[in-house]
Amino acid sequence: MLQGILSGAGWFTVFLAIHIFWFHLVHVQDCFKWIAKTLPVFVLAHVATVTILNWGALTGEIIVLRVIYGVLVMACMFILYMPFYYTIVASLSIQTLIYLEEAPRKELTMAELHQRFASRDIVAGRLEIMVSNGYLELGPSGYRVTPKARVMSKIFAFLKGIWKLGPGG
Amino acid sequence: MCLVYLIVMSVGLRLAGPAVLRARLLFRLFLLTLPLSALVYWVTPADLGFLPVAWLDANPTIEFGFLLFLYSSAFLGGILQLYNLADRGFSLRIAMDIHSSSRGSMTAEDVVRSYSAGKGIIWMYQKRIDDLIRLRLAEAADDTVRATAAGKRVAARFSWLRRFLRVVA
Repeated sequence: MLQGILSGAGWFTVFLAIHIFWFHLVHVQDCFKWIAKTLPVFVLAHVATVTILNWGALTGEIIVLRVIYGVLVMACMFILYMPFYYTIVASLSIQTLIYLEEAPRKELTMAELHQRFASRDIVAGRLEIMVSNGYLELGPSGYRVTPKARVMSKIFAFLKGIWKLGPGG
Repeated sequence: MCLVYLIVMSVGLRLAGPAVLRARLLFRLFLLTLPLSALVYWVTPADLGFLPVAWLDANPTIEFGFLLFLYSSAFLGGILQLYNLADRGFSLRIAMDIHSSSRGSMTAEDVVRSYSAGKGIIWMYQKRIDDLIRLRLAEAADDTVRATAAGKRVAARFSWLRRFLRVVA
């Protein structure tokens, strides 16, 4: 068990280091696509590591079990890392704090903050991102949801109903 | 354990009043279920009555640590993020608003005006500012907002991370 865990954790750490330094060296346009394409390479490296280390010494069943332990560790590290990464990249609250600190007076009026973070341009930018991600399509009367977004809207409307969250956002 | 937590969480959210800080409630509920997961681990047989002996690890500490890691990851990276997306997701809320609009489509101006079932984009941003103030990361006086000492530290760290990862503002 420990071998699978250490191999998975080790290879995810290598992935993380390469991802961070690659993003530091090169401006990556579609970050999630890069991450989604690269991570499977490191999962395969983990599978190869466990297989090579145990080839001939353990049964195939135990090797598979160790591989699964490692893949689970990698999956857990991934779901823990991604929210942190998106906080760095997309959080409005974090961007607000940075914007306040970068302001010459170190303070801003609500009107200035609204201009930067709650304007039509911000919404238009987000709508374009949603179009490029396949959630919206632009028609003659405005933006419409795609079937993918329709399914997601229904699922989350159901969850919001169960959890009594209200409209939120 | 995740299923048990989801049930406990759903009951907790349904009973919570509007003044309750939901994310804090969910975290406290998670902490409460940790002793329960320990109890379940120690009172159930290692093989659960059906697992082959070869699949078991000789060291119960590693097994239990792995259980806690999986459960904590599922909560922090999965369940909590699912709640966060349902309650605060910006893109998701836009998709839901467009999906439920009478025309079935919206322009950027429509979204600015009627974001979150008619509350508008200014409401969304004011909610972020209120959260920053509540977390003592920012303070407001006379329609002016500035970061507190803690907010300045957060801004400095995330500003460095954004520069290092070449995140475009």
